[in-house]
Amino acid sequence: MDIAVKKWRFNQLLLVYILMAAFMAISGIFKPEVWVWAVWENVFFWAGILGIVSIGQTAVILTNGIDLSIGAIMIFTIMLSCRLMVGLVERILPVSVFCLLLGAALGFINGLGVAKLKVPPILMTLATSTSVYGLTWLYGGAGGRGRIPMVANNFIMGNLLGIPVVAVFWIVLLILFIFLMHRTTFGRKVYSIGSNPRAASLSGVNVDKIITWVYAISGFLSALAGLFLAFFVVSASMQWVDDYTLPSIGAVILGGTSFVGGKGGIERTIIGVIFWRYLISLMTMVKTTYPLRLMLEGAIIIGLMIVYSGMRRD
Amino acid sequence: MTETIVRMESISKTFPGVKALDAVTVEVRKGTVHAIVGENGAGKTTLIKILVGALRPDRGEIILKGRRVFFKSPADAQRERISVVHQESMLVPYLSVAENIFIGQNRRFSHFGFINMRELYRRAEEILNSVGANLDTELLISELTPSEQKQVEIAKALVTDPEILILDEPTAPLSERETQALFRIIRRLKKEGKSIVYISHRLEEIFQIADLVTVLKDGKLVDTVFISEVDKDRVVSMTVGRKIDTAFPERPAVRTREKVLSVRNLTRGNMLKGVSFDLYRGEILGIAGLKGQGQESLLRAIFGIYPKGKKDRGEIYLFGEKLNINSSLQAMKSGIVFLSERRNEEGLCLTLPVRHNIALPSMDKRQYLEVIKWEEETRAVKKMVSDLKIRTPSLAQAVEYLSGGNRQKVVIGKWLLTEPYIFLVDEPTVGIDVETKVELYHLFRRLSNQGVSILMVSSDLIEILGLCDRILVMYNGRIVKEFKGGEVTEQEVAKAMWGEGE
Amino acid sequence: MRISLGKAFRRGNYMGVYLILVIFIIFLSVMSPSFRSGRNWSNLATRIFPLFIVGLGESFVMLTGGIDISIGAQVSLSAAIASCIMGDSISSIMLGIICPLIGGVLVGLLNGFVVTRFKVAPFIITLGTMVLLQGLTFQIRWMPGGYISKEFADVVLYRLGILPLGPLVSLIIFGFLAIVILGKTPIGRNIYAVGGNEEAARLAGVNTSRVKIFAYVLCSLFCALAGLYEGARMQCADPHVGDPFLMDGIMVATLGGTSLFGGQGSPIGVIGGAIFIASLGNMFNLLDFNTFTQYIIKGFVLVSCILLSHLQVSRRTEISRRQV
Repeated sequence: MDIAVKKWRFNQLLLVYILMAAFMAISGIFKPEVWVWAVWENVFFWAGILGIVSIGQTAVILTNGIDLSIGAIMIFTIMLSCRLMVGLVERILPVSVFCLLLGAALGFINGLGVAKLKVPPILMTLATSTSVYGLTWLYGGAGGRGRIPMVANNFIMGNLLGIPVVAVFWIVLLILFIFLMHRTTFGRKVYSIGSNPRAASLSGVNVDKIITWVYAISGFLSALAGLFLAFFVVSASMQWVDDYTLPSIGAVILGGTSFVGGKGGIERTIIGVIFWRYLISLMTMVKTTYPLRLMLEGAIIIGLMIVYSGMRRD
Repeated sequence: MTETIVRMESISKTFPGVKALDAVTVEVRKGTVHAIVGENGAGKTTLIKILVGALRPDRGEIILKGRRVFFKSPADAQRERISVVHQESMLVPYLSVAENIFIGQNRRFSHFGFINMRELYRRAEEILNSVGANLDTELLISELTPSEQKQVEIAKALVTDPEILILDEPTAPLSERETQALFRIIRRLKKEGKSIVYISHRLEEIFQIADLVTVLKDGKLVDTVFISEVDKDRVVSMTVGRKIDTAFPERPAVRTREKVLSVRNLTRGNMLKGVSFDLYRGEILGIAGLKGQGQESLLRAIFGIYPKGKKDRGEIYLFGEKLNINSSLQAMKSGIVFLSERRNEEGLCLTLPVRHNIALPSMDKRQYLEVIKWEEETRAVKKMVSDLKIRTPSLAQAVEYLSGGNRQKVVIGKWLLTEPYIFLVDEPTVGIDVETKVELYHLFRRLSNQGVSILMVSSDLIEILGLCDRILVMYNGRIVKEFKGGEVTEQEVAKAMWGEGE
Repeated sequence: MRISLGKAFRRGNYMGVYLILVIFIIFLSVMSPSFRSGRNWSNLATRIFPLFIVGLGESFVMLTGGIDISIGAQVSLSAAIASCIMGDSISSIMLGIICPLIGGVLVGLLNGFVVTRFKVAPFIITLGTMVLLQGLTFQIRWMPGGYISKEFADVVLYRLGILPLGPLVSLIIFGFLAIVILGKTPIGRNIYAVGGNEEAARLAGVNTSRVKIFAYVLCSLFCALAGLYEGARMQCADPHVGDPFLMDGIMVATLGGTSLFGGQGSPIGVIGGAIFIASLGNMFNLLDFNTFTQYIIKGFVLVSCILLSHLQVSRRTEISRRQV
């Protein structure tokens, strides 16, 4: 009886995936414009950005946490990198490194709060998010100053074997992190903490340290995505920049990683990211209004959580 | 007096991997105290949960006063005037004593939608007094001692004026005086024609207060007898029902006297009051005692996970060298591992695969630059699975789908991969089927023959007597007696457990 | 004669917030003459009501052990709905009040139902609701606009000289309502039971689902009211009006002693929290802080709130642990 239960649950996940694929196929029939390479290039570009931050979010969620500061760190990185690079090519590397380290440091602060001070992740990352947004406006002002050198912009807009550079980075990071999560002691420890922190601790896992690192990773990846976004927009004007916090959570949910219990993984989030971006591209193409998009996103989150709730252990 | 008030007919209940109850029939008579005894995992608590509507049976039915009843929820059972005092605390910590007593019942005091608090508190005081408790009804539960909390729970159960009152290990936190007070209440209720169902490990108490006793063993009914027709020995042997000699592996004749662990004057909080003993290489040392005498705390203190306190004293020596262990990691590095009683909450990551669970504590031995050496690990885990005869369709199977016995084997397997010197074991065979128990006993003996020292806490006397080379009895945070395995009777150990002959 | 409402809240843990509040107010009064002015007190009092009522709503949900992330969006939506319906006629005013309230009930039912029936984490579900409602708000009110009846605003914000009678009276009414509900009604007391030990409550026969749904509906109703108030204050509806209320609401509730883990908290503390956050905002305006410096400071305050809440919980678990 137990094995049957397990098969049914796994099949539920598969079912959702199949539905998503079917949806994509069917919408393709109704809107053949979708099957233009340019569209997919676009999808993959933005999927790359979303995908990079979603890796970090997945890792955090696997430890029964959540990272709400992703958007804030991205925006902050955009502002900071523009401000510091001021169009000088020789500054690209040092400023980028600095921004990445800063992102990691911010994530580290999140991790400390969650692990050592036992602050609930929702609130810790919310607090960091607010503070970082504040810092962004304080330091950057409403109109962005400084810009990114065009070299960087050309780099980010380019393709490698037809695939956008951002997507390539995403793929490389995916390989790296999936390996990390499944084949290293670190990854094992992350999963153990998500499944049963007490048992993990009693088995010799330094829970606090691992949690801190996971949030630091998320911060780092947020900064990286922010950097790429900065290369894309070139100047720090904020109106182009969507918030990525919510979509990253949505992608993780769509993929089927659960919020408690250490079940799921980055490999599942891939599907979530692609489907999410596809949906957005589709909605843009049929000229869905922003309000309608939001409503749809909200409905999807709620709907999927209901569906996946049946998958959890009784 | 011989009228039946409730009959549980052929009740069966299965949880994933474990058959908790197998066609158990129990009949409770009006105006009697009916005890239910059995080892840990025999099915007592499950039976009770079904009777009070917290669980639904897979098969069988409940016949209350001649009619069939179906309980969809605890509220249904309450309506039929069945009340229970659970083993675990069922109180709300930040509400007052009075509100806890009337939890779920506060509608009684509501007039036009508002609760008359005055009345509620007054009634609460009355009920508390009727059970002999002298408590301030305004106190929050979090401000009470465990025994005071238990008294509140008893008062709470009497609120609905139940016809059937079920008590699950009620005297665990109570003092002798409070226990007698409880018995007085029970006798009074009996006179009023109420029926009491009493679950306990404490034979003394059962023989004081009960009229009938039902013995459960491994989910099956053994028998129901009148207390007047049996004695304690008979009851105990009914709970076990197997001969001591056949199930257990033989003890080796020769023993080394190499001291592996020396504990001197270990004092922790309120639970350990100066414990001293030695553990020798390759021996299985059993620690017997009633629940809560400090055995579990002892193991946890040695493993380094007992919370620090101001009263901490004592030393632990490993192979002659003083140890300073403050965390599980440090303990593991010293070769000491701990098998917790609560295997699901503390020993396993249920949602993760068998492989993961078994490999976890010893991962560092099979890695290079933090990358896991996959083949080596596969080999090690496979070998452990086959050595321990763990029944699982594959290494990737999540542990939550394994039966209780196999889960325990996974936990044991994970610790064995760390190649420990000392194996601290807390109630290793709780909730496990007989076959697996025997397998485990033979496993422990094999380990000890290979040089591993096992320190085992168990409330299963038969197990302790059958398996251990030496037996220590703990009472009230101290070691009160030492016996040699194989040369002592159950009676002698039980006497020591009860604190007699100290 | 020691029994009455007081019994329910006597052991609350909000002394801390009032202490901080008093110190803070004294500090501000000393440092800033404009803070001391009558006009400023009056402005301050006006700001307290919406913060209080949203914080109160959130505290109801927190008491049951859950959380509602959609409170900000609910405020915006409520204002937006009202702004579309209200005109000058009495019937349109009434309708403009009733519709947002009905909307609130529906949202509360949605949140509560999904959380209890499907056992999904409240955070995620209310996050989804938040996005859904934001979309809905933008759909019906893309830019600030719409019409909130002047008569309605005049009643709600009624001033007697410099005394903002309207807001104060509302504060008292709803505060009283909350105290009575939480302190004297069976379902209110059950909220504490469910938050304190859900399993115990369930086994004792409490309908935990109903209690939780009740908490979510009440929260949504209060947010709807706050939306109406804000609409009246600005005389139109701004789709972003509710945005700050998410953070502020949680801060007000937590500062007021409501534990994130459930089972602890009281409206009396929430009032203190609301006054504090309102004063903070007031201080920002007076000292002409950059909107965005405010963000940082608020972030800091939020973390302090959480730490407070956390220390509270551990202090109490210490007490119960020492007896084990």
